Amino acid sequence: MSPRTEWIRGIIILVVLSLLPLIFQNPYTMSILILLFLYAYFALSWNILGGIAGQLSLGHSAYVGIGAYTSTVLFLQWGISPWIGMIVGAIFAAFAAILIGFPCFKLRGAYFSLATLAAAMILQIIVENTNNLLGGPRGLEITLLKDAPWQFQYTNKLFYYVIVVLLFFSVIGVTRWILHSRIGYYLNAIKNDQEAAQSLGVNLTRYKSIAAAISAIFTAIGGTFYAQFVLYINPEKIIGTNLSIQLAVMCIIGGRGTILGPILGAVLLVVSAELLHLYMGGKMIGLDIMLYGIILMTVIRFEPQGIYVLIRKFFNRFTRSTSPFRDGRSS
Amino acid sequence: MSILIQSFLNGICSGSIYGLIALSLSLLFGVMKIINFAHGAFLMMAMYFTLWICRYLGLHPQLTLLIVPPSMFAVGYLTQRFLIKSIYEKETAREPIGVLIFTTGLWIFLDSLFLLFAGPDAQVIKHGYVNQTLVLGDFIFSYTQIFGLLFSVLVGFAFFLFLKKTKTGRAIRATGQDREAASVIGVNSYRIYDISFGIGMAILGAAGALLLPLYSVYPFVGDVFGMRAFVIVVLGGMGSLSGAFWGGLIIGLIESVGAQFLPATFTEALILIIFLIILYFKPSGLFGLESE
Amino acid sequence: MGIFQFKNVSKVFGGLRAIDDVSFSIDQGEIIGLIGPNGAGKTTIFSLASGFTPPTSGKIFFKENRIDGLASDQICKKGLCRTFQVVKPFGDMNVLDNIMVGSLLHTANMKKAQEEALEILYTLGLVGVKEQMGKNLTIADRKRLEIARALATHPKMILLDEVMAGLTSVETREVIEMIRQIQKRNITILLIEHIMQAIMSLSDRIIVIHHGQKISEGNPKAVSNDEQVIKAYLGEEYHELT
Repeated sequence: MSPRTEWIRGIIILVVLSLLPLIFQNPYTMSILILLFLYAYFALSWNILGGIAGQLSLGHSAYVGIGAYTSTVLFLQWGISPWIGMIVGAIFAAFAAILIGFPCFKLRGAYFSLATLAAAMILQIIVENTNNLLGGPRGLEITLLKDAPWQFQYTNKLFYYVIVVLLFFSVIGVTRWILHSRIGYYLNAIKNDQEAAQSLGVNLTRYKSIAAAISAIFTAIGGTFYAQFVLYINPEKIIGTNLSIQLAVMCIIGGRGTILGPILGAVLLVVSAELLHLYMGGKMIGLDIMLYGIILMTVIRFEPQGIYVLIRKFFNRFTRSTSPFRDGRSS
Repeated sequence: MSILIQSFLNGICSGSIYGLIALSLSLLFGVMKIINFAHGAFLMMAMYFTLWICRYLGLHPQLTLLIVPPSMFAVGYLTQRFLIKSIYEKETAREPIGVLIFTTGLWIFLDSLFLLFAGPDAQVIKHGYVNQTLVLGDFIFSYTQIFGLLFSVLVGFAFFLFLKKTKTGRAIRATGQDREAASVIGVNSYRIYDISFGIGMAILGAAGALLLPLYSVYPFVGDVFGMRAFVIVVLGGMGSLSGAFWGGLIIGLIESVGAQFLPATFTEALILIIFLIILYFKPSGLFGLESE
Repeated sequence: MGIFQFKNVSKVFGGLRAIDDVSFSIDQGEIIGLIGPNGAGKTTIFSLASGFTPPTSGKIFFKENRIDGLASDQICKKGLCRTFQVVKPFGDMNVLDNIMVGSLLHTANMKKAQEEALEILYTLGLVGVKEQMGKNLTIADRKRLEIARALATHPKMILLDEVMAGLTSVETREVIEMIRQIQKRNITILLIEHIMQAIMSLSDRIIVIHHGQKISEGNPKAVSNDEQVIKAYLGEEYHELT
C-alpha cells in the first residue's frame, strides 16, 4: 500500500472515530466504547512482547498494576497529578519489565509464561499485604474531583474517550514503527528461531528487553488510565491472574504479531462479554470468562495464528495476495 | 520444638500429595512435551467428583479412590484424543505452544464452568472419618493425613513399577525419550499420548481424592495447587518423575514449616520467589539431569 | 598468525571428552575441510568456534582476539558466522526478510539492508523464491538460504555445516560453485562435509577429527594417503576416495 492511500485511510478512520461519540451519547454505551478502545490498546501493548517477539507473557497485569498504583498512590499521598504519575508509573513498569525479564529471558516458551505468571502473583501478594500505603486487598479509592482535567478527571466521558483514542493510535504507531525497523525484524527472527537469530548477531537479551520495556510502558499507561476512569482499584482485579490471561487471550485469538488481530480480538471479547451481561444480567458470574475459554479453544483448534489470519486466508482465496506475513506491508 | 517437628511431619504428609500432583504434570511434560496449564483445573474437577460421590452416593471418602481415578482417566483420555491431539498434530515446533494456549483456554473454561454449576462457596466433606485423629506420643495426626501419605507413596511406587516392568510403561518411556525412534520400533505415539494423558489424569484424580478430606474445594482451588505443581516440577526438573516427588516434599515442608514463622500469604510468595530463583540459576531443576 | 586458531581446546560433556586437546590454525582466504566419522566431534568444534558452548579448556582466537567465552551474537559481530547442519530458516518470514535479518547487522537503514539482501539473493540464485515463506522452501533452497543469511552479515570467515547433505548431484555442484564464489570475496571458509569428492576438490587443507582428537592435517592428497586416517576413518569409505 502506498503511503498516500494509507494517509487517506488514517484520516477516514479518525473522522469516523470522532463522530462515534455523537451516536453513542448515553453514558453506558460511551463507557463500553471507552473500554473497547482500552482493551484493544492493552491487547496491542501485550502484542509487542507476546506477539511480535513471541514471548507469551502471562504476567502483564503486573504492569497494569504498577501503572495504576503508582499514579494513584502519588496522587493520594502527595497530591501529585496522575498525568505525572502516569509517566512515573510507565518508567517503573519499564524497569520492572527488565527486572522480571532478566531472569526470564533465558527461558523458553512455557518457562517464560510460568515465570511471568509467578512474578505477577508475587506482586499481587505484596500489594495485598501492604495495607497502609496500598490499601491491602480492599484497594484504593481515588478522591472524586469532578471536572479537573489537570488531575485526570472529568465528568463528561468524552474526555476519557479522546484520551483513550489517542493512546490507541500511539500504540498502533509504535507497533508499525517496530514492524518496519530493525527491532521488528530481530524480534520476528527471535520468535522464529532463537539460535539462528543469535548466530546472525542478534543480542537476544537486549532485544527481548526492549520489547518487554516498550510493552510494559504502554500497559502501565493503560493502567493509570483505567484507574482514573473507574476511580477505584484493587489488587485482585488489576494485578490478578485473570486480567493477565484476558490480555493474552484477546491478542492470541485475534492474531499474534499483527496490528488488526489484537484489535479484532479485543472487540470480540468485550462485545461478547457485554452482550452476556446485557442478556444474562449479573446472575451468572464467570460466564464471560467461560466464553473466553471456549473462544480461545475453538480458535486455537482451527487456526493457531488467530482469527485475523483466518480471515486473510479466506480473502486470499479470491485475491491472490503474496505474503500473509504481516499486515499493511508489501515488500 | 515439638511444634516444629509436628509441622515438619505435616509438611511431609501434604508434600507427598503435592508430589503426586506434580508427578502427573511431569509425566505429561516428559512424554508429550506438553505444558498442561489446565492441570489445576483438572485437580479441582477431581476434588468435586470426590465431594459429590461422598455426598450423593454416601460413600466412604477412601472408597472414592476406586471411582475418581478411573473416571479421571476417562476424562484425560478423551480430552487428549478429541481435543488436544489435533492441535498437537499441527505443531511443528519442538515445544507445542498451541497446546499451551489451548490448555490455558481449558483452564479458564473449567474454572468458570464449575463456578457456574457448583457455586463460589468452599465446600468440605462431612464424614466422621475426616475428623478421626491418631496420637503418636507428642504428635497428633489426622487419619486422612497418614492415609494420604501412605497412599501417595503407594501410587508413586506402583507407577514406577508400571513404567519399568510393563510393555505399555516401556513404550511410554521410549516415546518420551525419542518419539521418532519409538515409532520406528512400532510404537504408535498418539496412542501412547492418549494413554499417558489418561494415566496422568488418573494419578491427579487420586491426588484430588486424597486432598479433599484435608482441604475444602471451590472453583479456583486448582489455581493454587496448579501453580504449586509447576513450582515443584521446575524444582525437581521438568520431566523428571522422581524429581517431582522430592520437589513435592520440599514444597510441602517449606509451606508447613514456613507457616510457623511467616503469615500464610508470605509463604506463598516465598515459594514463588524460590521458583523464580531456580528458573534463573538452574532451569534444569535441582534433581534434573544436565542436558546438552 | 592466521585468522583463526584453536589452541589446545578441550570440551567435556558430562565426563565425556567430546573434544580432546585440539589445535589448528587457518589462514586468511583458505578453504579448510573438517572431516571425521559420525560423532567424532565436528559439529562440537563449530559450536565452540561460534560461541554456542564454551570450551572446558584451551583458547580460541579470531583475528588475533580471544573469542572463547563470547556469546554467539558477539562472535558474529566480529565477523565469524556459522550455518546449522539442521537448517533453521525463520519459517514465518519470507526469504528476502530472512536475509535482511543478516544484513541488518551492520546497517539499521532498512532500504540499504534490503538492497544488500537483494544483491545476495541474486548471487545465490534465490530470486525465484524471494517472496516464499521460509517454512515452504525445498531442502536445497533452505541450505542456500542458510548460506545467504550468513553472507549477509559480512563475515570474514564462515563455518558451513554439511550444506550439501541431502542434495542431488546437480544441486551439490551448484553449492560447490557457490562456495568458490564465496572464497572469491576473500572470505575464509571452514566446512564440514560428508561428500568426499566435494571436500577433496574444494579444500586447500583438510583436518581430520577422530574421537574428539585431531589425527591428521594437510593437503587433500596427503590426508587421503595418511595411514592413520585410512585406519581410523576412511576404512569404511575408502573406495569413495579412490
